[in-house]
Amino acid sequence: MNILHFEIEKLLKASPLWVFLLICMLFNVFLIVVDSGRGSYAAFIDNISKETGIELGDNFNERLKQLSPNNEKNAAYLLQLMRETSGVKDVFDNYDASLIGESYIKALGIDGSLAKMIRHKYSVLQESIDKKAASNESLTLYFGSDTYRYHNLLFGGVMKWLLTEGILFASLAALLSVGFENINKTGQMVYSSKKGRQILVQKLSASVLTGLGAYLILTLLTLAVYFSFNSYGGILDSSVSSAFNYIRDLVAGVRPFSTWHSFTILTYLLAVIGASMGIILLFVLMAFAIGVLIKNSYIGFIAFLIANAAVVTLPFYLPSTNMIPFLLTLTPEWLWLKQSLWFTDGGMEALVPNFETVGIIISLALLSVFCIYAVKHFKRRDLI
Amino acid sequence: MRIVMNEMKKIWDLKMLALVGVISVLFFLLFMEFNITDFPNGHPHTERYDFSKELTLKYGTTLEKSEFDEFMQKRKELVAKAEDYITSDPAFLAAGIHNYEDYKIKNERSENSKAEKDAIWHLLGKECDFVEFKIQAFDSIADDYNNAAASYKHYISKSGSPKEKARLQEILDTEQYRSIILDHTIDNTGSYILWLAILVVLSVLILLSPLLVNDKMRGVDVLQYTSKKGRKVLSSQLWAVLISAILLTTIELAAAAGIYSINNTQIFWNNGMNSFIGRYVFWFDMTFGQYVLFSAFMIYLCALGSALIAYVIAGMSQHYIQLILKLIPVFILLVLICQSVFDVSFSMSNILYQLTGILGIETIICGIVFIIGIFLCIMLVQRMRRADI
Repeated sequence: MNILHFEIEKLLKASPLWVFLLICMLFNVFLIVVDSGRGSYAAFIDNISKETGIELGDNFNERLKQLSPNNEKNAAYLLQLMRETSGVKDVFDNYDASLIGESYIKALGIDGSLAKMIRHKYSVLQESIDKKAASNESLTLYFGSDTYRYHNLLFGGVMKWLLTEGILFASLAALLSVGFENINKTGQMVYSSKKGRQILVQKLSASVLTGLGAYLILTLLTLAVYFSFNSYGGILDSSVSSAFNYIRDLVAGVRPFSTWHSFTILTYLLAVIGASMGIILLFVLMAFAIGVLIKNSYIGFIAFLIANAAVVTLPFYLPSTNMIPFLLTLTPEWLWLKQSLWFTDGGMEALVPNFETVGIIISLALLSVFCIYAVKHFKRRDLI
Repeated sequence: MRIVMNEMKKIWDLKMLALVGVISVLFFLLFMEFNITDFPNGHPHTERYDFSKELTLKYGTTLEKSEFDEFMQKRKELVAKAEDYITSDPAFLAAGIHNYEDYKIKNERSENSKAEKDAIWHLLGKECDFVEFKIQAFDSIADDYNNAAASYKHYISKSGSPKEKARLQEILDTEQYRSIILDHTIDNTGSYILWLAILVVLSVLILLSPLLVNDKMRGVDVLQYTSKKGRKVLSSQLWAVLISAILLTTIELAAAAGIYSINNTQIFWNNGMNSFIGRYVFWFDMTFGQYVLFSAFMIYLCALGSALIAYVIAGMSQHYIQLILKLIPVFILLVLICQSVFDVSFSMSNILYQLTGILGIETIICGIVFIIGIFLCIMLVQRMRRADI
């Protein structure tokens, strides 16, 4: 425990890491301020939702009619909202998910087991959709016709940047922790001590804790700024599968944002933060193992970049009828790229339901083995 | 000079070169290959591009009125070809289409039967050699040519800036718009240049940054400072970094240009950038070749600026991770600069011009990156000359 404490302290005292985090924070604030939604239609919806509630239907329409806007802009917004919500239909009623699967199968030109897996995924999604239809889940307000923009701003923009920054910070923290003795020329002393090379376990723990802690701090601060510029107070309990939310897809076209489970904006946000932490953990393991295997941290970082870029590039050069490109969507790199589709069907390349959870579990297992291999290899390595 | 050469040997380490090579290949495959394999991309870009090529090969850099009239005769050949497909293919007969006139009437109608829809798509398809796309592209080029002067007059009436009005009037008066170059070609080349600029900046940062940090981590800097040459070694290292940056940029530019030549867009080398088949208005009377060469010059400026900044960052870093942590934000900033500089450079559509209204702002920004690099280097060298060892 004591050694872990010292290993964490080493990282906490590395000021460049924290300057990097500060730069990330400033960058996030810049992005948020540029896309600020103050005084927008979305802000108006959030404001009135405190009086009207978020469940669409006759009651909602009645409450809308009772509102008296205080200026012309709000009057126009109210009219717009009335137009959008009167007669809104449950998008999941009679929705056939298998059509999405069939369009993917046709576009990819696949058959056999791959097509069977895609059909199975959409048959499972159909069950979720039927439940959503039964509970009228799509009949919630979210941000009306501004939903797509704000959903992507938060989950495709801010949360994606936070994940990217978290990955970079945590990976560099892992490389720093592993390379610390080499940098300070204390390796021979530390590795010949009683604890010896087992210190790598504490180094890994310190990297994980520091990386995840920094991500959480950055996320909390960034979201505090985000929510101060964009009002969500009234609509946080809206479903992310609102009739106003959708996924744009080149092959299947525009389709509802259908998740495997029911998520409100708040619970979806928490789920995304949780999954992001899982993915950061994967990158920490990868960086740690590379850092252990490659003594020079600079070359280690470049090798880390190359490994990730190679995994991203590979599926484009393999035939779509091959299983490998589909399996690669379960890797940390593709999970990062597909962040905006987490907890949904995952699009054309995802073969299994809950691809992000399955991907995190499988990658965790594989990267743990990689780490164990790296540590074992390090135990036998000559220090001089 | 001997020290400069030895410093360069340290920079051009085989292991580092291999890593830069692998990164460059992956970067090329991810971001740049598309501009080669998918050019021209889709319809009617392909047909319009083919016509622009044909026009240049036949008439040179500009299309004069008499040449245009001559070229218009080609439409009859295309329609005759379409007629051949229509009369020989049963799909058209099934839809009640007997000639190209019938086809046009059905195509313009909002509601058609399934057989008619199939026939309409048939003439647009590969099986009919995309002949309908060719006719549409041909007509759009003819419209562009006939309406070019009117379009410029329209822009002049719409523009609120006297500077822009004057430039548009100049293009109109000198008939520069008669030049033949498609905006799709400019978009493709521009996108390739942008990614190339980012690749060059990335490669320069990766290859040149470790030099000073390597020395520090091995304690070589202390030995260097106490030698006869003393701290003048910093200048030699700086020269080594600059020469290496120029070499690396030249290699990458040469390789990228060689690969891009597969597209054969060099046939437009002497064509002016303001064209009747282009939607961009350029500030300067430059040819496509001059545009490419000037973009290369700006890439050199960015690369040298990046090299100088990398040198300074390395000078201020004690170890590799510290170096990487500083390089990442700098790289992101340089990417943003490249994106704004190489966004249809020197045109009225460039984002930097739209924000500042300054002509040639793209070169000025590249120059500023270079000057900031020099300024920071001077500061660093002076500080290191005074530093206690």
